[in-house]
Amino acid sequence: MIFKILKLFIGFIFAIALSLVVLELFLQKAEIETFSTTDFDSHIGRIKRTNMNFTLFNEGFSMGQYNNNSILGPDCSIEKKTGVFRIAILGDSYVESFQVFRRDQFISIMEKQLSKNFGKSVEVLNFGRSGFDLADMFAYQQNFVNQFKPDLILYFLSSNDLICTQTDLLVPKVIYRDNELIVTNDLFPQKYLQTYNKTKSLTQNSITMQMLNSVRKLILAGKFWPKMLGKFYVNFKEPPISDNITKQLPPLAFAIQDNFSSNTIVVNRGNNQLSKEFMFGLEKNKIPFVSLRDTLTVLKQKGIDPYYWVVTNTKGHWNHMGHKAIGYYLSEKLSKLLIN
Amino acid sequence: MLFNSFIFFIFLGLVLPIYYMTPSKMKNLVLVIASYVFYGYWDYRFTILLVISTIIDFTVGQKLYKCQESKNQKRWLFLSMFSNLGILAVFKYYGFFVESFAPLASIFGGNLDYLHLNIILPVGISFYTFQTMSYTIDIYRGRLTPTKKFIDFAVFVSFFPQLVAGPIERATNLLPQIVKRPMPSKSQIEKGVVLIITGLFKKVMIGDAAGRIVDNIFSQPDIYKSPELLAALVLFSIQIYADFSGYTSIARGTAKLLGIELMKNFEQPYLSQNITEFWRRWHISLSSWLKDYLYISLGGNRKGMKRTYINLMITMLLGGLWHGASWNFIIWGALHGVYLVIHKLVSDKKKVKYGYRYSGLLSLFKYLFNVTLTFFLVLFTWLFFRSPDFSTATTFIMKMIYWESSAFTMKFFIITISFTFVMILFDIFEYYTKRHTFILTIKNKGIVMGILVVMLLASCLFMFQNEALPFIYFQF
Repeated sequence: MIFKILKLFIGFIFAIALSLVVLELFLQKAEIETFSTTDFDSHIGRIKRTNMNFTLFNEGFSMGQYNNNSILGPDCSIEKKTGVFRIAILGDSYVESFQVFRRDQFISIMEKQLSKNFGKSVEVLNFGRSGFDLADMFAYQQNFVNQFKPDLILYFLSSNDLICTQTDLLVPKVIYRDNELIVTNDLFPQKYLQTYNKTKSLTQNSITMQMLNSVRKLILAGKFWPKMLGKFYVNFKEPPISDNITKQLPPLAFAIQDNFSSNTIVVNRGNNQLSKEFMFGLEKNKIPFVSLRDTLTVLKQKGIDPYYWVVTNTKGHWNHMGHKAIGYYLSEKLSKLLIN
Repeated sequence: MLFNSFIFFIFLGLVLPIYYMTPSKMKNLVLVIASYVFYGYWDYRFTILLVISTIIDFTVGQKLYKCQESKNQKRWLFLSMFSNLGILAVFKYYGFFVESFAPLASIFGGNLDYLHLNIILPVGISFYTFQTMSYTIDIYRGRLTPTKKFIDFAVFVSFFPQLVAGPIERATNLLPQIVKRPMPSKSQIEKGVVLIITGLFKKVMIGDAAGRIVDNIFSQPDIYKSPELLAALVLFSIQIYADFSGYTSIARGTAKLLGIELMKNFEQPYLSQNITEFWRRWHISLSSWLKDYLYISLGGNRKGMKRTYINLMITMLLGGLWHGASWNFIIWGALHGVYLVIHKLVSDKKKVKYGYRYSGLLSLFKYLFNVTLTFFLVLFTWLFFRSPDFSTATTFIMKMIYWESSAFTMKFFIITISFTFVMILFDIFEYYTKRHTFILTIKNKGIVMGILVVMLLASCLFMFQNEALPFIYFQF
């Protein structure tokens, strides 16, 4: 009897182990999910991995790579090639554009159009990072982007980004203290960092672990019961009232603005206008400003919703038409600005 | 309620113990209530149509059996056909016909805009109307004695495991089981659990996962390159098979847990050596329905060769139209019709090859060649089946002719091979063990448990992370 149970148990463990290996292989080769794309660097904070291919599914779907320098797109050198005009684009998930292939992103359109307009090679580097706000972008510029010596830096901002919540615990913090702007790495919560460092090799090398981690995050975000109960789920909790509209911009936003480098251009990527005070500051600091609102509104008036995704029937990030319109618009706008 | 949602498993977890504990006489009432809850979860209004269809066909069945006069019998049969096909015509084909005739009307100065109605297509309408039609036809043909109990018939029409996407059961198989109100045996429970888990894995991890690429590419074929489009087409052939056979496995597994045996709907169709064999292995319940109630009614092969070919074409065209009110499905059906006619012409009077037994390397190569050829013929038809319109199919074909290379060719190739390999692996095991529950042939039950646990874990993780995609055949 004991021998029979032991045989069953050994068989069970053996089958679990072997099946997990086969499953892992299938998940990887069929690209059902992508490994964790992040790593940690003591200077830059949470950073994207180098030389990593990905296939991502969201409102849309895309394939791409993080290059030898942890930047989205093909390999590039830190040192700029002679005769190349380099543009760095900082922003959040809208710039990251995980919903469309790079060849359809506004970045590629800009690269082609600007090269054509200027008659010389233009290189556009995508420094977009999901969840980044103005402060995160600023820290990223100081600690990482500046080493690429861009000729032009574009900040893609929406009104919410100006509130500078800096939610990612593993991104350097920007502090405004005694009239001084400091980018500090001293505020990483050590316990969180230790856990991250211990577990990252699992999510970086196993899709199954990455899936488990994603599910864990969804459960922590309160998605368990809605997923389980479907239509029968009733949310008794009052939805939080958004106070973004009434919220005053923190002094940090203005301090960052005052510290923008002279080759910066601010792009309003959102549907709302940026606050008057912030716009006034841009004018004061002679920072050029471009808004995408009109372009996107015109597109909507033509019956094309730049945020609508047919396949998933959702509204989200810019779709292909949105990217196309933005790419051509920005190319024109930048050509004029730079020629002037 | 989707089989690939957590709520379905909660629902099943509630229904099964209630069903087991309910006295035999009341079991079918439990099943009817459960089936209506299951169906009403989509939209409670759909259940009204189900009730109407059930009442009409139950009444017609009784009347057909009672009246001996063939004239009256025909009238009752006509009523059943009229009501069932009428429901289908209104809910499924009305919009298609209005849209198709609008250009013709405009030539003569007419305007059919006022005829446009926004009618919601009830889930699985084609499946249960065909099932109830077979009931009345079988009574008319004297093959079946109608059930006397309305509740038994209501279970036959609405039995939730197969209500929305089949298998389209014959009353001769399903009704006697329903009348018996059986309890599942130990073997049925074992097989049921295996079928549910393997079916869920096929649907979720193969069908849905491949479907994400397919859906994106087919929605905008103009922005994708030739190798990517080709990969999407091959992936669709895998997706639809994994999706539908996965669904059928869950349906059969669930039915087994209720002590009821449903027919097989798939027998490794992509291992077919010719198109005739393919149709004996693909969506068996529909193809046999069409054969029994349409092809044979038209005369089958009894009225000469020419008439046989015409009958084949009509059957396949209507088979295509059954899938949906769209010209794409008609083309799909027509292509299969043409294939079948050509195959009949070529292999006339020869016995159609079915299955394979190794008899030397040459025979293996011949088999592999035939299987590949049949697969590519079927693959071409899937292009029309999946394309939402003509322009999509045209774009596909043009991009195949004017080839554009892609930086992601290798990536798409590996993805396609991976999905295909896993799906074919299931088929090969099923082919050689002749069992859909091939895992149960492993003697050590610990190993069986281990494999099932990993399959279930993977499916649940995927289901939790992604929105549940409806089964492709639900729309039919």
